[in-house]
Order: sequence, then C-alpha cells, then structure tokens
Amino acid sequence: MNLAYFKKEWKEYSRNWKSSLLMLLLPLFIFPVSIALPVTMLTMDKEETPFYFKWEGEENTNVTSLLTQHQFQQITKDEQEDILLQGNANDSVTIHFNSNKKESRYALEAIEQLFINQQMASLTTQIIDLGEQPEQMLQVQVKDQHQPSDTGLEIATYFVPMGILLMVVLGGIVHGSATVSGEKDRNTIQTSLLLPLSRSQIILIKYLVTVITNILTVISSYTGIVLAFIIITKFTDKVTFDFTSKQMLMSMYVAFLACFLYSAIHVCLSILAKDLKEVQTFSTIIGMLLLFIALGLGNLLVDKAWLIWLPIANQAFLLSQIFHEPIALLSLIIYTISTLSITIGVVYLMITLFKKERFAFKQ
Amino acid sequence: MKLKRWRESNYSMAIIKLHHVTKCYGDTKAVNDISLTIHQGEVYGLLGENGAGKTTLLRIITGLIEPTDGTYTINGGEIKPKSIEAKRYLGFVTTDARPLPDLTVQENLALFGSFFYKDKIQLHSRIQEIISDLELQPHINKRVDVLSTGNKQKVAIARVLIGDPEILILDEPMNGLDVSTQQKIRQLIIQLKEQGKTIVFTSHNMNEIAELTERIGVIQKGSLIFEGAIQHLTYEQRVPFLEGLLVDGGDQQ
Ligand SMILES: Nc1ncnc2c1ncn2[C@@H]1O[C@H](COP(=O)(O)OP(=O)(O)OP(=O)(O)O)[C@@H](O)[C@H]1O
Ligand SMILES: [Mg+2]
Repeated sequence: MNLAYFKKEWKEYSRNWKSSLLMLLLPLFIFPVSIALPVTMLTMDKEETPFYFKWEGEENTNVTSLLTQHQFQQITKDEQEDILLQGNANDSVTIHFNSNKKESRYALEAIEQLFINQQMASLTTQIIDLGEQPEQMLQVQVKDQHQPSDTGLEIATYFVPMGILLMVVLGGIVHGSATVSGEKDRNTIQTSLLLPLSRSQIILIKYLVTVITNILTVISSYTGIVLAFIIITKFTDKVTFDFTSKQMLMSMYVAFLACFLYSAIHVCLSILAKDLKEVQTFSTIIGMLLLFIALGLGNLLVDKAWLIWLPIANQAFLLSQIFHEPIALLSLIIYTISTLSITIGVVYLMITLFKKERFAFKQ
Repeated sequence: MKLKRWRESNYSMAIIKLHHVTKCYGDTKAVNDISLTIHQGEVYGLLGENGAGKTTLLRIITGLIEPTDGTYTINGGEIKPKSIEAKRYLGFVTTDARPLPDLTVQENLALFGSFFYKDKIQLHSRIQEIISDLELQPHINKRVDVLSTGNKQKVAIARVLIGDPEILILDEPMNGLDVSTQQKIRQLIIQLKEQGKTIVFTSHNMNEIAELTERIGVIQKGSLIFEGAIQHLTYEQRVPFLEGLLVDGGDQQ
C-alpha cells in the first residue's frame, strides 16, 4: 500500500468535485423525495375516506367511541358495511371482514392498529374472514400484532432496498469506470505506470479508492433514508417505523459488501475499455443489467432456495427482507462467503488484465 | 592520458544493452531485430522518421511494453527490467505520459517527488531547484491543464527530473518548446551529462542531435540502419532528416 499513490488518486477524485459532490448529495434528496412523498400522499389519502362499520348484538361502547373518534363511521341502515363487529360479552369482540375487498382489509388493519396504539390488549379479538376462506377462523392476540402492516411502511421497505441497490450500482459506475479509462483519455496512464510501483499496487489502490468512494455514497444513501423517515413522521402519525438499529446495520453490511463486488466489476470494465466513451457504454449497460438481475432474482428467491448461492440475488433478497422479518443467519453467511469469493476472483482478473499491455495502454 | 583512460573505461561500461529486440503489432514490425549498446555517461541520440519505431523502442527499454522477441539488460543485468528498481533508475519523458492535468505544477511535483523523498524539507528544496532550473516559477500554482504546450512539456521534464534517475530517456523533448527553451533543455542535458547521467533522446532533427550527442542510432522502418558517430553518416542516410526538417518541422502532437 503506497500512501503517495493513494493521495494522488484521492486528490484527483476530490479535484473532480462536481461529480463527487453529486454522488454524496444526490442520495440526500433522492430518498426523501422517493420515499417520503408517496408515503405521505398515500397515508393522507387513506385518512380522507371513512370506513363503515356495523354492530351486531351487544355493543361495546369503548370500542365504538374509539372507532368513531378516528376514521370510522357507524352505520345502522341496510348500507353496505366495510366491517361487521359482533359483541358477545364485555371484553370480547368478533370482527367479520372480507379479505376479497380492499376497503374491508384496510378497515381491519386500521382497527388492529388502533387497538395496538390504545393498548386494548385485554380485549379478546376474534377475526373472521368472510372472503376467500370463510370457514377459517383466526384467533388473533392483539398485542402480538407487530408486523409492519402500514401501507406507508410497506412502500418504504419496498423503496429502501431498491434505492440502496441503485446507489451501489450507480456508485460503482461513477467512481469505478473512469479510474483507468479516464487516465487513458487524459494520457496520464503511462505516468502512473512509470512510477516506482508495481502494476498490481497501482490497480489495487485504484480499486481501494473506488470502494471507499462507493461506500461513502451508500452511507449518504442511508442518511437520506433516515431523513426520509424523519420527514414522514413529521407529516403523519399514521406511519410508525420500528426499524431497529440492528436491522439498519445489517442492511448496511449487505450493501457495503456489495460495494466491493460492484466496484471490482467496474474497475475491470475500466481496464477493458479503450477510453472513457467506451466505458460509459460498457458500465451503464452492465450496471443496469446487474441491477435488474438482482431485483428479479431477489423476488424469485422466496420460491427458489438455490438462488441463495448467487450473491447478486441474495443481496437483493436480504436487503428487502431485513426490514420485514428476522432473516436466517445462514443466508447472511452464504451471502458473505459467496460475495467475498467472487470479489476476490474479479480482483484477481483485474490485476491480470492490468498487467497486459493491450489493456493498460490506449491503443 | 590518465583522463583518456578513465573515459575509455567508463565508456566501455554498457548501461543498456539490447539483444535482437523485436516488437510486432499484428503484421507490423514496429521494432525489427535491433541490437545496440548504450554506454554509461554518454548522450545517445535516436534518429528516425515518423513511425520508425523510436517510441516503441524506448517503451521497451522503460518496461512499459514487452518485446515480442529478444532480450535486454540494464546496468549489466544488475537491475531487473520492469522492476520497481528499474523504474527508479530510468526516467522517461514522453508525450504519452502527461503530468496530472487537474493538479497544479507544485502539487504534481510534490506528488511525484514523494515517491523518492521521504523527507518533506529535502523534497521541497529539490522542487525549488528544478523549478528554477526550468524557469517554472510563474506557473507554480497553476493547474497543468491551463498551461501552454511548452510549459506542460517543461512540467513533464521536471516530473522526471525530480526522481534524479541515473538514465534519462527523452522522447522528442524539444516538442513544442520555443527556441530559447530548447536552448535551456540543451544546457540541462549537458549539465546532466556532466553529473555522470546517461541520456538517450530521440528526434527527427539532425541539427538538434548533432549538437549534443557523441553517438547516434538511426532507425528506419523498425530496423537499426546505422550506429556510430554522427559524422560517419552517409549522405543518403542523412537525406530524410535534412528534408524531413522542412516537412516534419511543425509535427507536434
Ligand atoms: N500499440 C500499437 N498498436 C499497433 N501499432 C503500433 C502501436 N504502437 C506503435 N505502433 C506502430 O509501430 C510503428 C512505430 O511507432 P512509433 O510510435 O514507435 O514510431 P516513432 O518512431 O516514435 O514515430 P514518431 O516520430 O512519429 O513519434 C508505427 O507504424 C506504429 O503505427
Ligand atoms: Mg514517437
């Protein structure tokens, strides 16, 4: 590790401050806009239309007053209700909903959320689905209901992994693809090659700087996400985020490891391309392809367990699952091992390519 | 008598020795079976028309590219070609190895100097020395990007001089320089020779080479067609470079 060359790479990177700054500031805007805007809009929308409920039998006044204080309207006539409540005794209520109907499902979610927020845990709730499987009866203990069932939260956990992946890929393209081809363009690659350093040292330092800048972009992305959550909770109390810092760290770990792989891929492309123009095409096409493959395979992973061996699929899967549910440690270990070994392979290829005069020069 | 013997013994010491070196690019033989010897402490000139293979030959010597065939030694085999040690030993000025355009002259020199000097004060005085030698003071804090072609060339030379290499390899060093700066570079070459450095440089210009070198090699289409003192060049061998002076005079890339 040669500090002087590291400084050279770093200076050149920071001298190119427009693109560097953009890659640091962009996520701070992109995430609040792409997460906070739809979430806030959707939850506002939800507030406007009331849910209609009917009582059958003995009425529980506590529940009725709680519901009518919020977005529920009691109806008694022969109007179509969204949800039907049935009181049998003082502390028990049966909820009939229809899973085939969107409003009915949302009404149930809203009631559950209200019960959780008001800590009406002592209330025994029985939920009966009149839709798909009417005969099935679900006994739901209200206090165990702790899954992110908010529409807003679902959107957030959908956008977060996509956004993070996008920034990892974009970071690889922006920081990695110019590192050698840019020097070919500026006629400074031979200046580097003539320095008293081995070629593997030169390319490894270039790779290291790419990884660091890529990780900085990802850190900025997480800052943007946190910013988005802060904005959302400012504007609406309908959405609660119960992401733990452990989940946050875990997803950062997955993203950082991905940075090592994507950076290596784009540095390789940078060596293979004869100039900046060529690498732009290479890097954009391959970067976008990898992104789509990752997102596609990540969705398939739930059904096809063998895909877990592919780090690109696994990283998308892990990023999207981390906020939803506890993920299997095995999956994380497999991801770590497969990503590291493929990265080492690509880095080895990178060094081999850079030693070939055909690629190290502008021809 | 004593001095003469010293010079002779010094001269017989081959610092670069090429042995049947060939470099092919597809079907073109950029360098075709060249064997030559460069002695320690001499100024050696390589003369050749455009595309003769001069730059290719120098790239092989400096380890940037591998010969397709043949071998070469540096300092009698003491220094392994392409090694880090060789990169310290050889300084290569070429239009294809530009100083970093986004950094200032000072930053460029400090950066490249830091590979050779661990001590900041020593490095600083070395930079000052070179800058005053090449009269770069007015431009020291300008980005290399904005400098004129000639001043860029001066920075490229300064960048190589900072490492104080034993062998200086200059590929068309006068490229883009005005007459008075060319004179400066000539003086610099003489000065470096007096310090005992070995200098190899290329040119299309006979006059430029005649003034500085004791021995020259003439390359034509990849082959070495002449080696020896410039006075021994036959008229036929001179012709391309006399006429070439007029035709290629403005050739600057
Ligand atoms: N990387 C390469 N790929 C293919 N051909 C090359 C390459 N480098 C050089 N050549 C060819 O090798 C020959 C010698 O080129 P070279 O640059 O060594 O000439 P030169 O003597 O330095 O010319 P000039 O005086 O114009 O600088 C040319 O015909 C050139 O086209
Ligand atoms: Mg040349």
